[in-house]
Amino acid sequence: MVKSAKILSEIEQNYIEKLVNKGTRIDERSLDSYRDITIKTNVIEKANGSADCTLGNTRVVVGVKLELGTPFPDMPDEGVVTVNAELAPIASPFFESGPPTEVGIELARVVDRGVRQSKAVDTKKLCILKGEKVWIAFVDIYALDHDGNLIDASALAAIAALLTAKMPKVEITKDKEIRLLEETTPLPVVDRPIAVTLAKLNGAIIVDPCLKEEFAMRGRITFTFTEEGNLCALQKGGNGTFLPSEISDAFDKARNIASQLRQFLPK
Amino acid sequence: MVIRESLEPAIFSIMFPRTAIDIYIEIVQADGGTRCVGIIAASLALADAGVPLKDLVAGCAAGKIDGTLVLDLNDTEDKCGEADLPLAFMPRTKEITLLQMDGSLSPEEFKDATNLAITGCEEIYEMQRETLKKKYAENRDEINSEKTTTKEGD
Repeated sequence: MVKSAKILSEIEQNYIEKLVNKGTRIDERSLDSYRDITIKTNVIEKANGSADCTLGNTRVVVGVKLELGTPFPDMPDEGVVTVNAELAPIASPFFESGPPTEVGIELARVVDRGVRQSKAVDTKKLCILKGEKVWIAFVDIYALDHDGNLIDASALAAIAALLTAKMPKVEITKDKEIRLLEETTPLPVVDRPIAVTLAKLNGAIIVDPCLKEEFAMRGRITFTFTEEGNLCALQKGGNGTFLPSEISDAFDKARNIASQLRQFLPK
Repeated sequence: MVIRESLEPAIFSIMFPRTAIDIYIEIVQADGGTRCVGIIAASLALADAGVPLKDLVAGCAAGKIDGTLVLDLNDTEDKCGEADLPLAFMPRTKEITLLQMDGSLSPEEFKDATNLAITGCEEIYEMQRETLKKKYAENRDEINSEKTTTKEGD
């Protein structure tokens, strides 16, 4: 973030701030409006599940890969879901190849928390042999184009990919060997969490910041809501601060938007 | 990273161009609330170092156990409870500098939990202030006693 802050000129910063004060944005949106969303699923043939999500010019592909593994000792009858993010240079001049950066780690953790805390995947149903064999679902996020708000785009793509993922049926032989069958069954997904990010820019709260607004903003806050409308994850980011009243306003806005965004997801 | 972001808004970094401030937090024993305690200690250490601050940053978590909202979770409560909401707050300006949540909270519970955590922060803030004041009072006493001894020496 420090590096990217250098990119925005003072004149542009002032311009963005002035627009926000007038109730509009550089891409002519209102403060509360989201960019156009498209979600395509099953875009990667070899993955167990996949989704391609665009949010304006931001584009993210998520792949779900299932592997057989051993469960954690404290949860012997539950499968595992892990989220990883790859911010490749193709997405933005600020991304470099190599070990994950703070931005990448935070992205993966925010998405992971949303999926995990909403209990979107019924991990008990990923268990094959208690204490020995479970399915491990790797949810891999690949940013293809970064024009701001990678978190929401990734969260949408992740849950869309999980919703359409298929897991092979298995057969357990007498000597406890596991055979994968050709037949598949849908991954047991029981909730559809939605992440909504808002940014604080010059004292105003804006929804779904684009890249330039992310440079200009002071703070950012991501709410993740379950289908029931309960909050399941929350993360404040950036160097800015929020007043308690702003948090509460942002919460109501985000909750509203979350239920609208859910329409874009496969059932 | 979240700790950095929770302290940075308090520091008048504009007074330190081309300067890095390194803060090292060492968790000696973890029993829940390490993030918040780290912030509390770090902001006191910054003040102790004489770094100009907008305010001390206080941190405290609120959570939910068995449907009841509680303040300051320990390790077991964090793992077995239904929600954990760490928050850092600058009471003078009423600004929230850190806010995270995982678990499940209804809108009402979320608002109550946030307020609860803020109350916790305010309590801790008073203790932070007292600690700082006490330190300077001790310094003053020390200096005064030194003065008297030198006078006696003359």
